[in-house]
Amino acid sequence: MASNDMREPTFLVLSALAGGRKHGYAIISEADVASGGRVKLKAGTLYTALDRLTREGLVAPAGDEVVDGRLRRYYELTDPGAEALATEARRQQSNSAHALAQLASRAIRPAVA
Amino acid sequence: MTAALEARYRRALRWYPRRWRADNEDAILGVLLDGATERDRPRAAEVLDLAANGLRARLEPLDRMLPSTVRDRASDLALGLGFGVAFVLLLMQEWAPWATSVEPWIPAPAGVGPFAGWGGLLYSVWVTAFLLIVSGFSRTGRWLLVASIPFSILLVSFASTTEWQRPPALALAAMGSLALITALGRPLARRTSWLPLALAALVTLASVIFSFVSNVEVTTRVTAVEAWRGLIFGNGAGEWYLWALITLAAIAAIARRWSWFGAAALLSVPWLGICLVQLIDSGHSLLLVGVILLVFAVFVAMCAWHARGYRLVIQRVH
Repeated sequence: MASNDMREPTFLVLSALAGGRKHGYAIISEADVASGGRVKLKAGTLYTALDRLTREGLVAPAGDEVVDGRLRRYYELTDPGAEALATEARRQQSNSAHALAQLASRAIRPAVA
Repeated sequence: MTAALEARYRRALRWYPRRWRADNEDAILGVLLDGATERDRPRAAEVLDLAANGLRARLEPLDRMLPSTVRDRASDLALGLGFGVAFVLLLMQEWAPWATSVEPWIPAPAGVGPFAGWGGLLYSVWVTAFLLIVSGFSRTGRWLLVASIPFSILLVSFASTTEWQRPPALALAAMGSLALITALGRPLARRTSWLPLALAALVTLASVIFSFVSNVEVTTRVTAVEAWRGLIFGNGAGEWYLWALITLAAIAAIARRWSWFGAAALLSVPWLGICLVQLIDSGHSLLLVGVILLVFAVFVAMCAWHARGYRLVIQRVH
């Protein structure tokens, strides 16, 4: 997958899993916190994304557990997933740095009379 | 409370295919119940999300058959082609103020608003959808094209029993197919999408205009049926589209550009259908039509097998 095709929900799911294996609701909570409450993933959307990322080899199921009578399926980031996330993070960092530099040069430009 | 909520979530999950549910239902149910505190009903947004993603899971076999790269490329070409036809016919045939008859004693048709017939509305929808998509409102443009399909079906159904002026049924089928193919993909999804879209639109515009001016005087009022039969389907541009698409598919197959091959093959299906119906209408034998269909099907199947890595090897045994 080309890094410039990565959408924000995908980025947030991969970021959530970068800290270790997580179950679905934990991924939703982590994405909510990381995006400052902007991205509230719904269960259907999350599972569609996880199915796709599993097919692409970026994440993998990492076991099931039953807690309070509810099944929790865990997922973990694979090595290609970590690589894709790192590439995207560097791309966003570079874009942000460029934007901030441009803004800084705008701030010091003398006003035209 | 939890039992009732769980039953409602399980009902909402029936949008998913049975096999998907067998693998994932309990896991996604756990996520849904974890997120539902002090509620006995799923939120409307959750139910909609499950319905949309469940339908998507049901359509996955189609996605495997027609990968998104193929659908996106076909979408670019179909949008350019449909816009080219719609724009020329809207201005040169349906826009009533410009289409004055050279024989003034022939009464002009009643018309629909500023258009000579209902085809004007359909072509306006196409031109509007094109402008929306190239302006970045892709989703709205695609929905507009999807809405044009039932409108075309209504026109075919009602116009036969009324005096409505409309394009022939085959033309509506062609425009409907192009609308569907455009909506199946994401037009202009890639940076390289502009060139095929612009080429498809320009070649279509040029060929329909050429066909128009070489067949009738520009100011002559022609009916919607005459315009399609004489200018696009008959001796006009229609057959050339099919040949151009088959040529594009063949070149793509030789160059092993499978997404372009799939796009050209997908786009040629409706035009092939139209050409075959015309062959039957003009009295050609069904055997000929069958042979053409068979050759086309074998060609597509061979290319698809080739793309999957299969090779036909002729080997001398002794």
